Amino acid sequence: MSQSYFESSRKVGLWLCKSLYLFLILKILFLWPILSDIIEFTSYKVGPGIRQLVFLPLVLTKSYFNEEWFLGLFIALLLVSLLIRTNYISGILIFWFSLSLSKLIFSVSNGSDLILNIFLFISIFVVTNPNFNSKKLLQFQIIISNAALLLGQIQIALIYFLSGYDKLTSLAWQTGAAMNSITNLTFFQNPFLSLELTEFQCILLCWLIILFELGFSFLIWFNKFRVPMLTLGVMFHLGIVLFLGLADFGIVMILCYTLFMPIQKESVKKLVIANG
Amino acid sequence: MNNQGFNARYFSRVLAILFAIYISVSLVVIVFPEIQFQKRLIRIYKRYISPGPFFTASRITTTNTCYLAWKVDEQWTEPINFPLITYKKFFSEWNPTLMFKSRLERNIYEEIIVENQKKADSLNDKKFEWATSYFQKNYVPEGIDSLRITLIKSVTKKYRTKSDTIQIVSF
Repeated sequence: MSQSYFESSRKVGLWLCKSLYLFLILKILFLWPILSDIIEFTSYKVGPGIRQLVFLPLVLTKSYFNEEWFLGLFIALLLVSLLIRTNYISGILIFWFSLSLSKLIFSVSNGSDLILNIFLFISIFVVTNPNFNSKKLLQFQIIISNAALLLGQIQIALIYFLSGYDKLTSLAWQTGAAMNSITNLTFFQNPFLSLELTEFQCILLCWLIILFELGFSFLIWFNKFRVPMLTLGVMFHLGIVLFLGLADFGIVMILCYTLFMPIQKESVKKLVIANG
Repeated sequence: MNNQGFNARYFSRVLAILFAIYISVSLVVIVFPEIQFQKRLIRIYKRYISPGPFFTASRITTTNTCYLAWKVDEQWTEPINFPLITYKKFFSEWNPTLMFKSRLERNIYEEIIVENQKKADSLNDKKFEWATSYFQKNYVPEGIDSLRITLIKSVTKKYRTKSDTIQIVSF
């Protein structure tokens, strides 16, 4: 794996982290007004054993503080990472806190929370702050960073492949009935943009979605198709936001596209000079 | 070849092999979702490592809606679909708090009322009590002592929608 790729992954990692951190800050702020209702309804419990460690921020919150302190502390941590420095420690802490947040708001969570946590975990390793001084350690750091970037890209491709393959093998999606069902779901349809689709339009839309999801997982690996697939992806997820109202899901998926940001080769020289 | 170069190269190769194993396992789990091998590991894998698929056919066919009415002068008011009110408000204001609130309200009746339907002592359930206090705090005017909750299940399959009233609770 070359150093040019490393320089690129370093920038990509920072972009990914910062965009996800900003998303998390906004999410917490928008959740805050209904937090007490969520907590009273969910009445979360942390199980014994390893769960105590995984959800330690929540365990401590329950024992010594209250949930508003937890959210306040989490926002402070996110702001510091966003504005001052993003490094391994902040990455680990944010991932750790995010797991607890997902448990806390379980009753209003969806697939976007799982995706967010996966990419927060991956972003820990993509970021390369601080740079190790030892040449040997730096070399391993470069390899781990590049591998994490690649893993993130593979993960996105697998999410699309899983979704596309499931639809391909589903009779409801093959016959377009799934699209008809979606348009009849009261809570997955923008009431101001309600669609009345004919059977042909349902079939067409279903197959276009299947083709896009399966196509994305393969074509994204070819430079020639990368920009068109990402453009289609952004449109697809904006459609999910606008028509289905799944704003958090659509936005998280779009933010994860930063992993496919192009390599800036002119920065290679700087890194080579900086590292002697 | 120096030792450092060897180690880095060796490490890269180990990572490449791990990647190949990960992709292979993922493809097997995706293509054969009913696989009966290492069930616990596969469940963890599906839950935390490779989430999805989203919008599966089984999840998009059914909608439960909940209507709330209360008594004024011995007459039941026009029922309101309260989560839908919040949901519509989200789209008109684009305030994400309302998106979360609508989700919470759907969970309240889906989890509490649907779950309580299975129990004989539903009215004594703590969560049910909490739900009614939530309705009263957010939607029902003060001084009302009779509430009616109606739950309607709609199933859309093969281009046909069928709706059933599955529960009415009055108190």
